[in-house]
Amino acid sequence: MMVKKQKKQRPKNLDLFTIRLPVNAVVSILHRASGVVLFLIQPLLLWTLYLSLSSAQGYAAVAKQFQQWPVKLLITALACAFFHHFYAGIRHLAMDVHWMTTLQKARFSSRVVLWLVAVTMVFVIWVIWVRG
Amino acid sequence: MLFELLTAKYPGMRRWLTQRLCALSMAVVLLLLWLRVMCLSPQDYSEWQALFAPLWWRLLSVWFFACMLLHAWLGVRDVLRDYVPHLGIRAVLQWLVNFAVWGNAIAVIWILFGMNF
Ligand code: HEM
Ligand code: HEM
Repeated sequence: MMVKKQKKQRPKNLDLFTIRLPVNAVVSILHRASGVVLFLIQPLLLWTLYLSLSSAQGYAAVAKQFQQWPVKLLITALACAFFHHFYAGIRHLAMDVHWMTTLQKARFSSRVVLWLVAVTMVFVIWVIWVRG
Repeated sequence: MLFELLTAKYPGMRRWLTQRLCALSMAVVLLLLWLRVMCLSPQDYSEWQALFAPLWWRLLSVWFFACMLLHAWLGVRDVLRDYVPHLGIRAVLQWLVNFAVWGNAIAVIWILFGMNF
């Protein structure tokens, strides 16, 4: 009963146009989302690894797939998820040992994470789309 | 105090620490794996095979995947606990997740030690 009452009285704002997510919240939710995406994609990655090692034909099939643009797009997206999860994960571990935990420093490290992801993705995009 | 937190009295603390240690281990091992891939930069099937030939490489890969599966399993478990309040639905989802994790674990062993390539 208590729970129900509390639920009703709680102030709510779910208007997407007035919600301003702080940078720390952005990094945090993307870390969670990317973790789930990486979890879900594991079977596909393991299947690819299996195919590429199983035989010369399997390897050629995988190599051919990697030339297709939808596959390249998928790899780009997954790289983005991975690098965000990686950098934000390192930041998370640093904060777990009480490093850079004041609000100001946390905002700074959040921006560093987002910039690291951006710079890494420029490189990834270059490797996947330009260099071939 | 710190060590008491790691006894069976506080399973949540243990899970928490396991997830962090797996994350840290993955970060280090990934660097090693990545370094060798970059240095050998395999261009065809035989070079790709050669990359996976040494036993230490396979063992390191298994270690990496073990950390990844454990880390991700603990992570998804937390996510389900946060977002799926209905116990029955959560139990079903967690069962599916466990099934997938075990399936992946078997696949990893099979790929790295079961195939004679
Ligand atoms: C974990 C940190 C990293 C280390 C220690 C590392 C190390 C190296 C090394 C030693 C080489 C030269 C290999 C050789 O002798 O040919 C190399 C090349 C390269 N790295 Fe990395 N790397 C890292 C991260 C990355 C990342 C994040 C990317 C892109 C997303 C990347 C992309 C490349 C590319 C494209 C090459 C050129 C490979 C070639 O042309 O054969 N590296 N890396
Ligand atoms: C070296 C790489 C990685 C690092 C440093 C890392 C770090 C972390 C950390 C610190 C957390 C805890 C976040 C929290 O409690 O809020 C976490 C959560 C998680 N990680 Fe990773 N991780 C890595 C790789 C992976 C990979 C490869 C996967 C998937 C296959 C994965 C899946 C997850 C999931 C699903 C969560 C739960 C998300 C959440 O609770 O918000 N992680 N990671």
